Amino acid sequence: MRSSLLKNKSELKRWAGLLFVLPAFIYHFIVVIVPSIKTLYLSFFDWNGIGNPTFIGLDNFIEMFTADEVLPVALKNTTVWTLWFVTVPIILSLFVAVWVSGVKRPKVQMFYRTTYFLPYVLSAAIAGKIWSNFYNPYYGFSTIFKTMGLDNLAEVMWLGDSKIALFSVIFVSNWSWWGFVMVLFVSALQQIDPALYEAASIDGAGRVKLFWHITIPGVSPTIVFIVAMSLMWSILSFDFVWVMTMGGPGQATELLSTWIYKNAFVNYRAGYANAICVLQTIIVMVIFFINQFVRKKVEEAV
Amino acid sequence: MSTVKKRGPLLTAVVHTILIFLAAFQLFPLVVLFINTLRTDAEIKQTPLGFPEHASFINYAETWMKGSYAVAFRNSIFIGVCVIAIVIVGAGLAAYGVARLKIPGRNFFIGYFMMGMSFPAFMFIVPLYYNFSEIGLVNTHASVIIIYAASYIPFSMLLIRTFLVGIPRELEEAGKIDGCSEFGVFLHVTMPLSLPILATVALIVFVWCWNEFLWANTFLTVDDIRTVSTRFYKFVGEWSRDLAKIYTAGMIALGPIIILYLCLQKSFIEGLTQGGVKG
Amino acid sequence: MKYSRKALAILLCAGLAASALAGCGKSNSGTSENAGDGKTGETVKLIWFTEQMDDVQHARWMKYVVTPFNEANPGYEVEISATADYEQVLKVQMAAKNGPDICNMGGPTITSEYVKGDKVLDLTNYVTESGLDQVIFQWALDSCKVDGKIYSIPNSYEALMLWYNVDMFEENGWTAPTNYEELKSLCNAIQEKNLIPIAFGTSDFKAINEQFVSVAFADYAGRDNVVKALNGEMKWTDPIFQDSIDCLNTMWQNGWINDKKSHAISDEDSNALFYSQQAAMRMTGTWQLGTYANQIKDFKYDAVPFPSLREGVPPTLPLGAGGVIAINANTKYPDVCWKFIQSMFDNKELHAQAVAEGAQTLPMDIPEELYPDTMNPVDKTIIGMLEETQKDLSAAGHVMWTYWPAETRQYMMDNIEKIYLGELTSKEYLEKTQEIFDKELADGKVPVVS
Repeated sequence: MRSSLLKNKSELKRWAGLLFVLPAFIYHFIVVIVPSIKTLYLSFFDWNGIGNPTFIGLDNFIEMFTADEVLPVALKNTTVWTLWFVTVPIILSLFVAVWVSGVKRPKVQMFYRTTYFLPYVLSAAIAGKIWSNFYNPYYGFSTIFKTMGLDNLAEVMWLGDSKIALFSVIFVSNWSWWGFVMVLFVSALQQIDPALYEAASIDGAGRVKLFWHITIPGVSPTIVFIVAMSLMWSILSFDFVWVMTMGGPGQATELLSTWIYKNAFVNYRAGYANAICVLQTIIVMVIFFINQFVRKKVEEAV
Repeated sequence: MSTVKKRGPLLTAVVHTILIFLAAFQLFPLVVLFINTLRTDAEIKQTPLGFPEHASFINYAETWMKGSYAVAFRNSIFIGVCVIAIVIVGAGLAAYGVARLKIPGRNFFIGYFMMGMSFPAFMFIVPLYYNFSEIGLVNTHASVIIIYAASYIPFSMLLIRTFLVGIPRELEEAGKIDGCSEFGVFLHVTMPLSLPILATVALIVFVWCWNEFLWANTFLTVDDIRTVSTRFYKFVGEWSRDLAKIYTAGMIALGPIIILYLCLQKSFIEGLTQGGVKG
Repeated sequence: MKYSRKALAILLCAGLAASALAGCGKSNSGTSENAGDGKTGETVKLIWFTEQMDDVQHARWMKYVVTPFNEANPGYEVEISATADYEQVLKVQMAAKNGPDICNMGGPTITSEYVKGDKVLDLTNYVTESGLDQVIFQWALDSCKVDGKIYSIPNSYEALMLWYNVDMFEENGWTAPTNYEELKSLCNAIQEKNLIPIAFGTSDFKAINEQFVSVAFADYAGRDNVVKALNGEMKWTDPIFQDSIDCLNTMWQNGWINDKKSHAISDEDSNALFYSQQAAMRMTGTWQLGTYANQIKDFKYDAVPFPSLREGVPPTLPLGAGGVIAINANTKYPDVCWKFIQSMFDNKELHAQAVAEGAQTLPMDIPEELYPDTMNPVDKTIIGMLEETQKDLSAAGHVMWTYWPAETRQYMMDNIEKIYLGELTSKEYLEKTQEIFDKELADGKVPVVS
């Protein structure tokens, strides 16, 4: 009798814990998910985004996989973009975060942290314009290369060469982005108990060893989170491409998101754009399940 | 970190060189931007990169006045503060619930917010505009506050959760033994420990609110209530734009973020030097 | 600890305050929220939704259109609501069964999408009753017809032209070209001087690509063939169009079009090349009039129709509506909205003054003597040239943004660069164009062309 009451009580407590989560959950669900469902539903329609949708069943999806010649290009470019952003900025910012945290003078440390983060704050429209200027073949980097005698580099059209344009934009986006990742790492590093480092150093561990045995495990949940975040947000990435190349030259920098935008707002084919959105969501979901699996493994290990 | 072996002088030099190089690399475009704000629009249109013929800060004064930045700053700061408040409370509670309490469906919630983080705005902008205009929220600050808070809660919640997972449970157990309730532990033990991460979340959320363009541009179409991020369009005409003022607008918008960063410095550095666990 | 608890308390309070204050930013001047009924003495506010404009443009519209209307119509007040990315915002608002009373749109093909959604008013009766069909150029009004009904009114018209640096031409003894051979020798001469023949840049705005495609079709294939193709009587895969694209490609490969770098520089960059006299010519539209008048102080400039590219085709001015103006089907005051649109066309003298100050011309005949003497002479000649074209439309071409349906347009402007870069042949390009065009023609998305 007594034990079941206790059990009930702890069970009740378990459910009461939901009160912590539910407000955020319900709020988000109402504002974001409920309207989104309507949009997803419209992917089964021929709809110009303005009015009077006509039901066409799976036609949009069939077109997507059979007739759309741009989609494969967009998927390929998005994959390249994503691969870059789950590796380079994360590695760069992790190392820099460790080094910056090691800077002893608070003022100098704050200087570095603010400086690295600042580009992320600048609006993409303006940052993109400035970088387009740098990439300009008439007065940008090419003049610097020319005075250095590097004629081959001076000839390069950074935004005009189909093979290079995507990386030129990635480079700018990376410039803006990695400082943000670094801020996340710095706050994760703050959490690691300095006593751990001290204990390990007394045992004679070197810097490299400290990094691998204390720093990395300490920030590994953050790493997993940032990888997941980078994966998902890379797929949504839009700003810099839109400002700098609009997907061009040709379709060399077309991303999934720019192709969705072009369909929805330039071609007036919102129904079709929604169908691509569904594909995007499915990709994100697959990534999510993989990530969920990895996250559990990592957190169990920690 | 006293007992940790000091880096060798060579390594220290290398690390510092890299840090300085990166700082220069990050700052260089901003410096170019700043130089361009000292030039006239005609100069920029003729030679997009270059030094000013007669450096002048006149662009700043004109941009500030014509763009009515005083009003825009007030609007953006008001929106930012409200969103931070809602996000910290909502995401903080949720993160605690998911990270610390054995609530049913824990993994579902983590998964849900993970998915929720990646919903493109274009998925829900039209239906939401419809709903908001029905209840008269269009052209109010409340509309964007509601949207921003909802959009930024998933990320913030997951970030705080990641942090909380790393805090040793013993501290909270001690709190419980002292007779605190679940909410009491949250308020008196967990939250103060998470101050550095909350400061980070506040900073990030503020930056996002500050720079957000799509929603602000769609939902706030009256000048008095527009935010900083949409103000530089004041200098875009149908066929040409005043580049000098647009660049200046970009510089002006950076100011408050730098100030905010420096204000939050205290909690950042504190967390760093003392180590989060010592509280 | 104490400090942090305080901080948390402040945040919580702020949260409460936020929810209490949530409604405080509300403003009454929201779209379509009319303050009252005109008859009861309160002022009715009508929202006129336009593209983003700078202070000068805003002041000009207020002075020459809005204020005169508001003064002549007590009880009603038209208010300009200029928004960035206005077409996207308008679309969201209209799709959500909301939106402004009067709205500008990028062109008639865009309006036809709103017609499909029953979002804009049929203006046919208004136009015939007011006699505006006698005032507005026939071709411009025709382009606004969807299924024979008029849904929008063209509020400006423009043409693509070849601008050139007069001083530089005089110095070198060059003359403006009228046919392909002249263009060829001119461009070669310019290139020998290490200058760029024609400044042109598209990297930040792909729609600019359609300008040269429009020119190639108008000056190589000729207007009659284009009309046939747009009406579905001829295929885009016809050799004449393929040759047009090949001719355009040859011009690009020769470096005449911005030294083979048009895809690597922005529109503003190409203007900069023209301003700084690194380029001798510039191909762009008459919407640049005001901008060039303000910016170009160092040299004289002028504009001519792009030269004929094939024997038998005259140098043609590709014409189009710069934009159109439509009325929201949901507005409570359609008559007043119409009155406002009509008022723009009523006072020619007022309009001529606005044009002299840099506004684009309405598609109607404006006697030359109405333009004030203070008007920039270059502007005057170029506008005169535009009006001259109206008398005999055989030298008037078609710009893509007015006549081509949305998806065909999108395909053509995105993919022309692939031809320049050798990734696509003109044959493949036009086959795909035809495929998309057929679909859109069947959907009734192609405007009336004459």
